[in-house]
Amino acid sequence: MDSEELIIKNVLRGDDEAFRHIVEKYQGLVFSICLNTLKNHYDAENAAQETFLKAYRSLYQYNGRSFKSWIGRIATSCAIDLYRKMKAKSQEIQFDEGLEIRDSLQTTVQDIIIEREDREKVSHLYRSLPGIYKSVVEKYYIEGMSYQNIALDENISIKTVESRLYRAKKLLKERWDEDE
Amino acid sequence: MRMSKKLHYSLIEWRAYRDNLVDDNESEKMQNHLLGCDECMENYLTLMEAFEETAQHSPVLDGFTERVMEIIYEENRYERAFRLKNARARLITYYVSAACVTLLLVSSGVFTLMFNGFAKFDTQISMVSSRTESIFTSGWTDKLVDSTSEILNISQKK
Repeated sequence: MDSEELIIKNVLRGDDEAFRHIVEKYQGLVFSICLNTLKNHYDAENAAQETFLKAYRSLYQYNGRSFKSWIGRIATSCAIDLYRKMKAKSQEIQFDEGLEIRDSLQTTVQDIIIEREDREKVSHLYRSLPGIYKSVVEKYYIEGMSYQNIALDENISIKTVESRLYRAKKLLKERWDEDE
Repeated sequence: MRMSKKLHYSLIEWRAYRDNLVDDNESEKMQNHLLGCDECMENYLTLMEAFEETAQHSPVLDGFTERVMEIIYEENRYERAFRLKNARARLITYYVSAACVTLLLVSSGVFTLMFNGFAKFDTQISMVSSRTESIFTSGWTDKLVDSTSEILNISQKK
């Protein structure tokens, strides 16, 4: 059994730390694929993180052939997914901007109730976030602190602040969709 | 470079895609094709591997591994806590439902009816067993032993 197979077996047995070797070995390829599709480091990092998280969660499905090819496929699909989402979002924003003035004149009691319910739901979901994400979300969205100040306050890098905010938003969205 | 769905893109075309030499429209078409075509995916990955191996600078940002491991540890803990909370909620719901059903059955008198039914059934069983006893009062096992011994005695005399 080669060392890579052994690492995978150890991860599957519950040794999370063994997964670090996989991240270190394949991060170059995964990052290159993500950067090639997304064209900027910020989005490439998010897609690369998503790739490793997906690989970790679906490792039990790995068929034992080429791991490089397996993780490369996950990276390609994560990067293309993110690219499509970002494109759809930017089109949505353009569309929303066109409707903004008309909507502001048509706010009804129903809208207010829905907004209040949504706020309560967001607040409930926020409370269920992992501790390290909650703290960064609070500092950024509620206290209005900058990435730099949060990084100093938490004694972490700015990239880690960005990464935690991204994951927090992603988790909130996933939980929100599950509740819908 | 426009292609029908059945065909594959060539290695040269994938190289052009990798090197950002195709326009946005074509690039999106190639992405759509890539996700559904194993052969093209293999070609693209081969090119990306070669690209990564010859790159002068690693594109990976500092501390990437740590950030990934942090996410794995943190979200694992979160998932476990979430699952545990859900399991507890399900267990509580199960017990509350069971208690409600029991109360409903008690209040509607179903248990009393069942008890009366069992009592009647029990009486019938006892009647059947007393009848059986009367049939076998002569001791059929004794009779069997006696007749077997008789047969043995006769055969020995012979």
